[in-house]
Amino acid sequence: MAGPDIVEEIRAHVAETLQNLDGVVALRRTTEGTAPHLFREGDDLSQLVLEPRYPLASVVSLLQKRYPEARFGIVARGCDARALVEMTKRNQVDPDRLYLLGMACTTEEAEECYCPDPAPDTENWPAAVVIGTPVEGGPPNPIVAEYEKMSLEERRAFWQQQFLKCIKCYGCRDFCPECFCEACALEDPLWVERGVLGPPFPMYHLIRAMHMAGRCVACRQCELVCPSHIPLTVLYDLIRRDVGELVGYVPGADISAAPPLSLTLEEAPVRGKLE
Amino acid sequence: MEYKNVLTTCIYCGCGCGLYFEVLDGEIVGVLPSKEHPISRGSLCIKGWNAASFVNHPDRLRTPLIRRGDGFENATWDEALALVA
Repeated sequence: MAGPDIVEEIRAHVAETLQNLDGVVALRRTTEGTAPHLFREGDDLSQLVLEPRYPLASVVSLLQKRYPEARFGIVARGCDARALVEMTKRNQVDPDRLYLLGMACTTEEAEECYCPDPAPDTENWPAAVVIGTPVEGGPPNPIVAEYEKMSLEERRAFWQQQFLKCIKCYGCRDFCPECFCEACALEDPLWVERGVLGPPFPMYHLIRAMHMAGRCVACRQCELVCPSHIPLTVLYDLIRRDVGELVGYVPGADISAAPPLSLTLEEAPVRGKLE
Repeated sequence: MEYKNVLTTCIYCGCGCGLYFEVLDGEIVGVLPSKEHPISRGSLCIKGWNAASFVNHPDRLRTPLIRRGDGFENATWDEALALVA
């Protein structure tokens, strides 16, 4: 949990920047609970808090589309900033109209999230400030290491057991900041029959996993909202690793790097090899 | 320019999951789960995730209906209650 000093420093900075911005997207805690909010000048900033995490990048995208001239700020963790990087590349966010008020997560938070990069990268966001002291990334998800020791049959059995729990709520997709397509393959009757449980094995989850290639920024929000506690990010961590090894692309890391699926094989030659 | 989240309880079943309606300039534009809700703890089912879609749906009943002849006609609450009470 971020210390009280960090919260106060962020509130003070938001108060200052609100004079030049149309609003700042952050979390607001009231007697109802905590949820994303657009803070505007004059709002009670003592309600601004830093957790629990919500995909704030999606809120920025929504607001920028509704107000194409407005300039917004966002109180962003490393995962929010990475999400904004990938959304920028896919025209979901305009970085020129966005002020990033970054915060560094604590070591405990980085460990809890297995976070690769627990603070916004100021090379991607030159105008950003980062409040707090950036810490090292967390350790990799231990389930990934366990999974890699399994045989192909065991892996299939592992996912069969996990996906059996799926209630097809689409929460992993709905909450994901990188899932913004208007037409979704998971609603295409060619792949997924609507109104029927359970989801087709293994296509439902593998389609989503494939669509996360070059997109998943490891924010883990999908896993946190999954009512069935499916370790979804094991899949996406492995996809992230494959994309990294094959074409040297790390989603969310570099705002100037083109996503590999938007390039030809000549532009982004496959340099690694899958086992 | 106003974006806020309004806490409510999912209306679909007896679980009573907590969810927020995302409200942009007075219009419901989406759903977010309530992570602090003691029942649902940040999760929803497909009905909860789509709870915003019926609010402004054209098929939603907005007045009582009284059957007259082969069809239904819009009625006021006073008319409807007078008929059944």
